[in-house]
Amino acid sequence: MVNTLVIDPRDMVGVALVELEDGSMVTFADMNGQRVHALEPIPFGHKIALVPIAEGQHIIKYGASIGVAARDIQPGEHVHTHNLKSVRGARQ
Amino acid sequence: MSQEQILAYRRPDGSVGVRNLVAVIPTCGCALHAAERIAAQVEGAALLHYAGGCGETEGDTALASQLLSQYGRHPNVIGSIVVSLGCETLDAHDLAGRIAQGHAPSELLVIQELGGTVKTVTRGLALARQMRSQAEHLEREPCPVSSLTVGLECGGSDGTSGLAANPAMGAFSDLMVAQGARVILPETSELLGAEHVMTERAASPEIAAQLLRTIEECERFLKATGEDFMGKQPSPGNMRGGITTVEEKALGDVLKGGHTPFVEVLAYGQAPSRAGLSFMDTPGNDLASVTGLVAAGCQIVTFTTGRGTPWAMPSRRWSR
Repeated sequence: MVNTLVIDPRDMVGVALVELEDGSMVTFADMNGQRVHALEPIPFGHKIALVPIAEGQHIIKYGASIGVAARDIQPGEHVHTHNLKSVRGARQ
Repeated sequence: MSQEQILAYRRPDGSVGVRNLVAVIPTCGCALHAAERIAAQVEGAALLHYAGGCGETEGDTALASQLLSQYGRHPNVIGSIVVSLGCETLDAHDLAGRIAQGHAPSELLVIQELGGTVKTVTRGLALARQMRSQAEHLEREPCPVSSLTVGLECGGSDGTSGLAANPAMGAFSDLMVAQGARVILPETSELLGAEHVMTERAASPEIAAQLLRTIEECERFLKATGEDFMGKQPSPGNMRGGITTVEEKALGDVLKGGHTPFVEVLAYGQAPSRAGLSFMDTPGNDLASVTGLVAAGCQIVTFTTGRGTPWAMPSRRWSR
């Protein structure tokens, strides 16, 4: 069953369509053999990394940058305020 | 793609309407009560809730008068009843005259000349019912989708808005643009953070520059209030829902406009001059935004919501 949504083929993150438990396999349309397991619980509607992301790299969702990685991020990690920073001077 | 058709009403000036509404237009707050009583008692009458008209800056009164005249000439309107007190700053005769230059008639009722509220309401009810009965013979006929102007609005967003509802509206926007319709994306403040995507999608460097200027002007205005608007984005509720940055929030909003280029940047209430996707400079408040979209001639405004948006203003009936 599909449990994650990838909005644009260029995206580095998916959005959890259910609460993903620690260790659960991430499944989404057009996976092309990609295998990602959640490294921690991911709440519904929150982002999970699908590829390795280096500190300072732009994180792509909706096919565009939503900010910059504040540290290295492994596939399966929760992506949120602790490791993704806005470049537009927002809160955080 | 083949030219799709909708069933709609053809107006004498060539425009196309999807409703046959009588607009009841007060020209000042003092005339609002009488106008409300007329609109409430006639099926198919819509009140334009306007409470200015006096004690405002000249610029505000001129803008209100301009917007009210655009409503009176809207393709979804078959006639207007302008209700004036008689001593307000907004020139009611001028407004009624400008509406009458459009496709539909207008009648002016001046409370001080008619002898009070009761007489005005009685006269207004007769006129509104007469206009509605004259519209009964109007029949819908096939009209090209290209005769539509469509507004894209969302409000009361939740965590699913950027995942399902807004992409669906974006697909609708792309279909409408492919049919040659005019589509308008509003709400400047919602775009703060999506500049990189907006400018990429501009149809020309001039339009990209215009978009950036409009967004910068909005940010300057917000800063001038002394509040840190951007510092408060995304909201705590957004963050609990999984939205991390203002860029992410803005991109989820821009999705409503689909994937076609921006062909024009419009001032508040300005009608698009060409087919395709336009951006309109409006406040982020849904009621203010939709008021501008309908003034620009939108016969239909599509509205997505996550948490529900139970507002009931006339333009909902105008444009639903």
